[in-house]
Order: sequence, then C-alpha cells, then structure tokens
Amino acid sequence: MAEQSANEAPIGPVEALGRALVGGIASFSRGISELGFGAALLVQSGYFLFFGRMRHQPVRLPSVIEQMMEIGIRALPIATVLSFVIGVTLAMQGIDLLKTFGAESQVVLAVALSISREFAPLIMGILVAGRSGSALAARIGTMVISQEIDALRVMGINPVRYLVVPALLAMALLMPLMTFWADVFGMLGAAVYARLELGMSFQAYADATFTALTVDHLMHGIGKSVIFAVWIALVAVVNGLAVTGGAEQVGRATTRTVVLSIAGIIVTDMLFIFVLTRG
Amino acid sequence: MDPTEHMAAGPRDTENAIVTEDAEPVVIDVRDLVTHYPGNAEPTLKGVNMRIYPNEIVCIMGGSGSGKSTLLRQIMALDRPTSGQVRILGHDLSAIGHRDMHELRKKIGVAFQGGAMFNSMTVGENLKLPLREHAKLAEEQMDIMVRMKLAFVSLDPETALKLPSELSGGMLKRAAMARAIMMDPGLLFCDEPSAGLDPAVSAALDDLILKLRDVMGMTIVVVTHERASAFKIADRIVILDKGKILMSGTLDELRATGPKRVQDLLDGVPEETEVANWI
Repeated sequence: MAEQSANEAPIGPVEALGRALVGGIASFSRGISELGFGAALLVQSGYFLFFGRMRHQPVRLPSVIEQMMEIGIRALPIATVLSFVIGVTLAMQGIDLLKTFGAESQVVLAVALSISREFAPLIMGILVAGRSGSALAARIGTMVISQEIDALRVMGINPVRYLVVPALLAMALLMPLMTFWADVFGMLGAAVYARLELGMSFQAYADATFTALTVDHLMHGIGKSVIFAVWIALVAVVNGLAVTGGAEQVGRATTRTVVLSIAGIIVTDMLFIFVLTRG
Repeated sequence: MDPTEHMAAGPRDTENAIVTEDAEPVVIDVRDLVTHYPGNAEPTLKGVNMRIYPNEIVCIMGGSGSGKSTLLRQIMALDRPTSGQVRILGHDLSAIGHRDMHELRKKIGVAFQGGAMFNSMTVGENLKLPLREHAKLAEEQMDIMVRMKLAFVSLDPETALKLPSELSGGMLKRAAMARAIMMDPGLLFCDEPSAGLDPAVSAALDDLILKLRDVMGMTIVVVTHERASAFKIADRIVILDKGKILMSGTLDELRATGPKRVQDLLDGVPEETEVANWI
C-alpha cells in the first residue's frame, strides 16, 4: 500500500525538471542518431546510383519512373489548383496593400518575386511532404512489419538500392519541375485576378513579369526545391525504417514524417535565404 | 580456419554440444553462437551449436521467447551475432564478401511467416522478382517458370494475375513458397509455415515441404511451434529453450532419451513459471 501511495504521489518541481531534461537529452540523442542514419542513407544512395551495377545492384529505371509518376504526375492536379489559388491570394493582398500608395501595377513584381523565390518551392515542398513523404514512410513502415524488407534482403536485393534510391531520385528530379509548374500557375492566377481587378491585359502582365523576373530568381526557388526533396525523402525513409511493432507505429511514423519534413523545409528555407543574401 | 581446430580450441557448452565431428558435408554449421538484442544485457542465444546436413528437414521448436526466430534470422544472415560463427554452404557469414554473399543468396530460399509478398505487385510479379534480379531471362521464359512453380505448389496459373491481398491464408503461404523456390535453391528456410492455418491446409503444406525435399533435393529448415506438423515432416528436431539447445535428434530419440523439459515441450506442456506468469 505504502509503495502504491509513493507511486501516486505528485512529483516535485526538481524531479519534473530532471525528467524533462532526461527526456530532452534522449530526444536530442535520437535526433542526432537519425541525422547520422539519414546521411549514411544519402551516401549509400549515391554509391548505388553510380556504382550499383558493379555490385550487381543496379538502380532500375522503371522503379524511378514509377516513383516519378506517383510523386509528380499524379500530384499535378492538386499542385496546379494550389499554385493558382496562392497566386490569386497574393494578387489580392498585393493590390489591396499597394492601393495605399497608388502603385497597384507593382503587384506584378511582388507576385513574380514572392512566388518564384518563396511560395512555389515552399508550397510544393509542403504538398510533397504531406502527400508523397507520408506515403513513402507508410509504405516502408508497412514493408518492415510485414517482413518485406527482410524478404528483399534474403533475395539478395539491397533495400536502399531498391526502395530508397528510386524515391530519392524521383523526388530530386520532380520537385524542381513541380516548382517551375507552380511558378507558372501561381503567376497565371495573379494575372487572372489582376485582369479582373485592374483591367490589366494578360500580354501586359506577362511583359511586366518577364521584365521583373530573372533566371536567378527562378533558380533561387528551384535550387531550394532540390534540397527540400532530398530532405523529405530521407525523413520518410528514416521514419519508415524505424517502424517496429504494428500498424499504430506506421501511423506514428507517417505523422512524424510530415511534421519533421515541413519543419525541416521551413528551417532549411530560412538558412538558404540567410546564406544567399550574405553572398 | 579449420572447423575442427576451432571446436577443439574454443569453449564448449556440453549442454549445447550437438555438433558431431564427422566428415559428412554440412550445409549449415553454427558454432558457439551468442546474440543480444540492443540494450539487453541477457543474451537471446547463449552459445548455440548446430549442424544441418544435406537433404534433411530440420524443425527448430521451442516455446515463446526461446530464441527460434532469432536463430533463424542469424542463419538467414539477416542479423549479426555478438560472437560465434555461422557457416552456410561453406561460407563464413562473418567474413563473406559482397560478391560471395550475392551468389549465396541465390542458393537460399525463404518462406516467411506472413508470406512477405509485395502487396503492390501481383503474385506473378512477386515470383518474377528474384529472376529479374539474378537471371537474364526473357519475359516469356519468366512466365513459363512462374507457371511451373505455381503448379508445383498446387496453385492455378491464374493466381499469377492476382494481388497477394486476394489470396486466402493457405494460398498465400503456397505463393510465398513458390517465390522462395523460384531460383531452385538448395537450402530453404520456412518460418512457421503452418501457423494460423486450418488442419487440412496445414497438412497439405507439410506434404509440400516433404515434396520439396524429395523431388527437388532441398535441405529445409523449419521453425515451427506446430507439434503435429513438426512430427510429420522432421528428419530431426532441434529443441530450443531459453536461448540454448536442449536436445537434437529424431522424434524417437527425443522421446526415448529426452529429459522432462524436452518431453514437456514435445507434449505442449507449459513450464510452471510460464503458467504462474499467465495467472
């Protein structure tokens, strides 16, 4: 009885602080370990991509194409709608704010730069993390618990080469293309709104956009998107492979993948901008 | 290193000493195998010694937590031991190179407990996977082989077009068996082949295992807790208990000379401590 009461006794502030500290250290340690695992996966993926054939572990093109279809092509409808809506939203905000200064026509410049440098890679990153990153984590997690990963290994098929490289490559190839797609449809959305609100013709909007936009602006967003793609793929694979137990763990891995991917994208974005704006 | 020299020099646990020093060819040779799960001080396998000879069916039996699955993972080269040695078809798994391991994998088939079929592929594609990876065959040749293997395990050719999720438990196990023998391996591992099946289907799978040995000349290692199945198919039964081999021999030998714990395990009588734990 006495033991039971001791267990139920409320913990003091020092003990609570101690527990929080121990928990924090454990989480930090897990994070470092996962980062290391992710880095090792990236190196291994590069190895299999370039030297896999020499080790009878070639990366098969059909697997990469299948992943590209899943990550990119099948996501195009939602990517198009999102980009268009973001463009319209930015145009509405921009025109409303610039109206104060009588500079509504400058909305073209604001939209072109904000979409190409920031919104297109960010929105596509979040979309791919939520749609494809979570699917990849769930797929790999399910394969772990149903022993499919073991089955690959006993068949002499390296799981990194078979599962990770195609997903990583497909994301790294598709994300820049999707970002460019989002650039186009975002600006189209803004152009449609500018025509309705300001009576600006599509030709005039396009001319102003091409004047404002340089290749550097586009590459700024596209370059970021490649980093986001690699991050999302690695987070999904690390979390998928960490699944143990049953279906509940797959759900947790999926949620964790989405949260960490999006958090990572936002932090990486900030670091990317910090580095580029210092140069 | 000469195996007999190792045995003479190394520490021997007489309780586990089932290794015989004869000149017969050995398919699997396990010596002083010790394994730990990460973070667990108590070893899962505590110095296991075992030899498996060509063309025999060996059933590894034991209660829950006895180390059956851990031993199977070790001899399938899925996990690394803490210490000890596993030799398969003459290859020391701790010292084997990538190329030899790749060749060795072609000679081993594994039928996992849940089938471990890839759910995104049809049964036919599942069966073709080892061929695609290891053999350069035309699609038509692979189709013929798939039909042959499906017929061998008594499945209709149309099964090739179905998804694994469309198969019954017994059919799934047969399909998994068909994939395991696609490369005509000399060595087959079966993890709980009869688990969760009704007696009739279980008996048919037992017959299939006997057929694989008799017709295809395979050496087969079966991990099972199904006593009726083991008694029917095993040339030799290895009894594992708490990470150690209690005894190994034919069913008659075990019945005639086995200690009480062996008799209890053969009769399915739980240990007193197990009963106490349940209560």
